[in-house]
Amino acid sequence: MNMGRIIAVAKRSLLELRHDRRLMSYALITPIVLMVLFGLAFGGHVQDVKVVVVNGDGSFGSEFVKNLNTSTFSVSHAGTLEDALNELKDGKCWAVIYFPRDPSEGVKVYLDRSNTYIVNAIVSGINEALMKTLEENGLKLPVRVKYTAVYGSNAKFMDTFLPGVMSLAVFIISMVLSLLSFIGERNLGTLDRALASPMSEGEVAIGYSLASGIIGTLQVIIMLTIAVFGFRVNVEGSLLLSFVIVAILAIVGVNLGILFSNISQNEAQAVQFVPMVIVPTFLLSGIFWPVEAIPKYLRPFSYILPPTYAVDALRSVMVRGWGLGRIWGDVAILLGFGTLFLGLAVLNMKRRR
Amino acid sequence: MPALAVRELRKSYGDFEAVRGLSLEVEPGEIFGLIGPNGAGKTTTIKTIIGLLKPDSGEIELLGRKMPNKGVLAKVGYMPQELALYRNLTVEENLWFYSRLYGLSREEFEKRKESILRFVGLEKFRNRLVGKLSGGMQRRASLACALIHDPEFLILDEPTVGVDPQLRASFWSYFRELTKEGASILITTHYMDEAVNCDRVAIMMNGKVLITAPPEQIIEETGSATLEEAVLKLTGVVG
Repeated sequence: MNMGRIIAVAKRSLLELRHDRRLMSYALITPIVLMVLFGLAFGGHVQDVKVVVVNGDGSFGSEFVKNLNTSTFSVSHAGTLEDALNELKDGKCWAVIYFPRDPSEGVKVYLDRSNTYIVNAIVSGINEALMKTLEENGLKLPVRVKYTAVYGSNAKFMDTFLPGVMSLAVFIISMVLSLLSFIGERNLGTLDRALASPMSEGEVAIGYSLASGIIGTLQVIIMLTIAVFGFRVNVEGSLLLSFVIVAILAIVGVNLGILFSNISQNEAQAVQFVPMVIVPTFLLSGIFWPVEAIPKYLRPFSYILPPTYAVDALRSVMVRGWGLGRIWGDVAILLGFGTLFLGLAVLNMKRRR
Repeated sequence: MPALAVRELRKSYGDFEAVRGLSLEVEPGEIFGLIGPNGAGKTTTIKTIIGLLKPDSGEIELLGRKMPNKGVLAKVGYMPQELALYRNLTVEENLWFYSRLYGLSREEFEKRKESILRFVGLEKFRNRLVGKLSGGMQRRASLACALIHDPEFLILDEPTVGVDPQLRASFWSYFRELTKEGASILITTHYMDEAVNCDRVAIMMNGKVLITAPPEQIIEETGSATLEEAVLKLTGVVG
């Protein structure tokens, strides 16, 4: 191993990127676009859900409506239940809250359950308002449930997603960049020329990994900056540790790209691998749904996807504020993937002889 | 001791035997030409010599070292048939990269690059991206990269494809100059009018060497007027 040659390979990759505007913007603008899109789309809570209240009862009903969260709900009133239900059936509102003339009949809620997110927001909003109204009326429940957040007390939707979005962007981009670059190296003969020098296959792969680690860290700095200043995301744990996790993930991606480059003759064939990696990563690595929500028979796939471990580790660091001592398992597995793919990439280059 | 000795080299791809028991020796300071029709096994031979392909059997000794040997490659320059340049790097950046692979320091590189750029006539284009150069200029840049570390042994696979006659002539006078300084050159070419400039040529056919001799001798012995005619007679490929 010669450090000079490894650094030369890394520096050359970065130089190439600097001269190629198309690839450069792919590497640096994609994370920005992704971050802004996800931030805007997932940034807030469910808001302005239209509900119609039919108040046949009077005082209790109006107190209840007062206690409904005004940012979650947009309340309108209807004279009769029929009118209200028609609005619900026409899709003009998400729920009808009906207070019968006789309070002993209870409160009735009619729902449009076609969107789970909205239903969840309605149900918890109604429960919250109901408890508040009952307490104001002097009713004390014998048992109360009190929730205390040990981790993520200030966490918004976005805080939970950020580690996933970052991992996805870094992993995919590092894989695609090395895939394209390596196909070029093979077709243009530069790889042959380089290997006809004293340089070894291992030095090539490590040089590529180094460059990719640097680009990955850069991407994460950009995304974190947008997330923290643009979307007020909190980062509880060590930034440095987050960078290290992402850099390892980038190394895994780069070597996977080298491997894929061997089974494709040209760029057009290579792009076909991209969805094959993006879709499972997107669905199964715990970016949007926790691995616990994935059917048991699919979970083995989650566990062979390197981003699963990066997402888990990053989330623990960024939301829970954990240190290396508590995420070393994830980091060790990621390092294992990195070493494995690097070894395979080297073997793969050697096998072509 | 020859600069390069190849003995009984064999290399096949699956069922196809590309090189079948090839032997040749290149003397120090010699320009040795490997010529023959397409598919004769020239490029396979060259790639095996430089270690890009593993021979099935046979021995290769380069600059006194048994191959494969990564260390000896530091003294060898290689110009593949393909462009083998990074299109998104400038000429100078390409030169820098290959100089680093061969272990040149920054100072050595700075010194060496000026004379190389002057020789290939790319001084004014040093900061241009290779992808934006003309085909001929790209060949020149590619040759420059093979020469950046002042190699003792030079392996050139079709170095003059797409190069205009004037530049081809200057390439050859430079090759001659290099051998005077002690370098040895193994070259493949399709142009018989330039193959006559070699000290010796080996004519290849179906993975074997038919004859190795100085070009004039081959022309004389086959009773031909030109090397081209001699090669056609020997290989039986009549164009």
